[in-house]
Amino acid sequence: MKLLLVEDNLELAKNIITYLKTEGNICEHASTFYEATDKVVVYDYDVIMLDIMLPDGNGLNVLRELRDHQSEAGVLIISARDSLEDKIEGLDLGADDYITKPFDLSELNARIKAIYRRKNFSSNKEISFNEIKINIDSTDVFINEDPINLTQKEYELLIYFLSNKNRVITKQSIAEHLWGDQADMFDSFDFVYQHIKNLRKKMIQAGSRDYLDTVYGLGYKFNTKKS
Amino acid sequence: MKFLLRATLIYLLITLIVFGAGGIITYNIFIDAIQLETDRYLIERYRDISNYIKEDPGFSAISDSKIMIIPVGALPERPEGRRGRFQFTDTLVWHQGLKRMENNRKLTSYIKTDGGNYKIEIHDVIVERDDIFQSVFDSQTWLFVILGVVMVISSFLISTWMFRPFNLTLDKIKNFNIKSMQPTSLGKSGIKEFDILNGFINQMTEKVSSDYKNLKEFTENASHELQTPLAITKGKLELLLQQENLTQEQIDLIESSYASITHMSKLNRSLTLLSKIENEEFSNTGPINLSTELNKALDDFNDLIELKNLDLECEIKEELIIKNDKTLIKILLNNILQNAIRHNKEGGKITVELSENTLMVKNTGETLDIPGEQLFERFKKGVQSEKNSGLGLSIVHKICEVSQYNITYDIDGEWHKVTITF
Repeated sequence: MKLLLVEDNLELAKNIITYLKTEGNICEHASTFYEATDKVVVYDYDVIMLDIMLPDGNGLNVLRELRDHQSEAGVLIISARDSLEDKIEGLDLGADDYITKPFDLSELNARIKAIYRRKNFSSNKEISFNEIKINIDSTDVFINEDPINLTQKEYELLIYFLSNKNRVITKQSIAEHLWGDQADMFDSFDFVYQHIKNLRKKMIQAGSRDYLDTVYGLGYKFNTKKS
Repeated sequence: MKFLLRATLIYLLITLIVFGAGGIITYNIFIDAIQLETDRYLIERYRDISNYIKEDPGFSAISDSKIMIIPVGALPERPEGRRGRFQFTDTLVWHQGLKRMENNRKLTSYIKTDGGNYKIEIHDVIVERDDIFQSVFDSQTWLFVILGVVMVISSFLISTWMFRPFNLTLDKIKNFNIKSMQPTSLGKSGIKEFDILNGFINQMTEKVSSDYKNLKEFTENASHELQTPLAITKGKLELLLQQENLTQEQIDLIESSYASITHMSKLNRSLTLLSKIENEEFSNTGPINLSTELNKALDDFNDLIELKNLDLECEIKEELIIKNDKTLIKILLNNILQNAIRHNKEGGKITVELSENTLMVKNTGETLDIPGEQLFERFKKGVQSEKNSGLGLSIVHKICEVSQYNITYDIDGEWHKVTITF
């Protein structure tokens, strides 16, 4: 994927770029509105991550610029403001998704991939990894071409892992991904454990390798090096 | 009581006292003046009579109804302390016309002539004290009544005409809303005191508005500014986690930092939400199907209810429509249900009841020995726990406050009950 990050905070930008680059993505960075408009006019990107609070102008204007140039790039808005108006205005202007600071990098990664899949529907309606195949349209999951029956949460969990292969994903991040704002009610992350346990059991029963590693006390990792 | 009415009443009371005192003084002056005048008249008559007697020494005794001349032997000694030759006394005399005894003033004196000594008594009707009192009283009363009527009318006129600018000012203050951040712009009235007042009020509202704006901006900016460093730290920890060969000890350290950062950002978000609700930024009011929203929220929580093995009982009235901001209601329902699930015990119970104007959520939980209402206070937790913010119920309370709903929290043994009346 070719990505553009529009973010004025260098440290935050560094985090994001480091995280995304390890998967072989090309990730460019613009720290001002001026720089951003310059880049989006000249180059094509798959997904643009856009901080809407820029020192030299509202990031939403970059969206207008993109629309004027009939760009096909997917846009993920990054905002420090959890404001409904911003969200609605951004989505109205053609943004694909909206994420509020502070976010988990794994969550950001999953969102970018989801946008990318939606944008490239024709070529990419499937996610597949070794024996695992997921049809995004029908939400069917296959192991070695045999369908397995997953609950909604298990399905979301699997996609989340596949979007963040070989990454340690924290329990908090998983809980937040699955339950959103309600996630802060987890006194313990037993719920996450329950879902992971069920998902793992179903997959192994269907003949899949056990990809899910437990990082004790912290979270889980989808380990592709399992054989 | 209106200022002018009260002032008028006090003024009338003072006038009443002054008029009373004035009446007494007037009465005494009248009495003195009348007595003086009567005495002078009696002396005048006495002089006429004494001249007459002296010119006509053959005269033996004259008697008219008001004059008595009585021959006496020797002249009596002048008594001690008497002034002049005349002695004045008040006496009662039969009045032929009125057929009754009347108050009279009597002059007694002695005269010495060639024809012998005489005692002369002259009396005449004097204006009665009762009559004087009555006249003074009547005139004072009438004056007082006229003054009172004039005062009431004029105070009414003054309040409508003179106090117009003041009432305008009051209206403006009443309509002043800090959230609109519009200072009152009160003009000149032409009356110095009111102009000073208006000036003060303009200054004050300007100051209050700008302070409010600054505070609001500060709160907003502070929370936004906090989110970025939090996001950076969180990201760094996440990157650190991806390092190979971390020891369990290192992982534990990262984990607890990560959890604290997450907690902090949630606190920050909740506080921002609270101040947003307080600032009434959720004002997109419209009809909401509360029954649908409640069912939706319960659906969202279904997972968690099952995982905690909770027994859920619902009695929800269908198609209950209320007017409010949709986001606010969602937050409200989420927080109440969240509270009921989080503080529940494994295998506990939840009862949700929605009727015409009441939403009641009851759940089992730990027995607390603090009054339920205290749980609405910020950062007040029934059970001290790191994981929850202690702001959930404050948010619920705040939403009820701005929506003018009544909310109560009752703890009865292990049962906790939140009741909201719309």
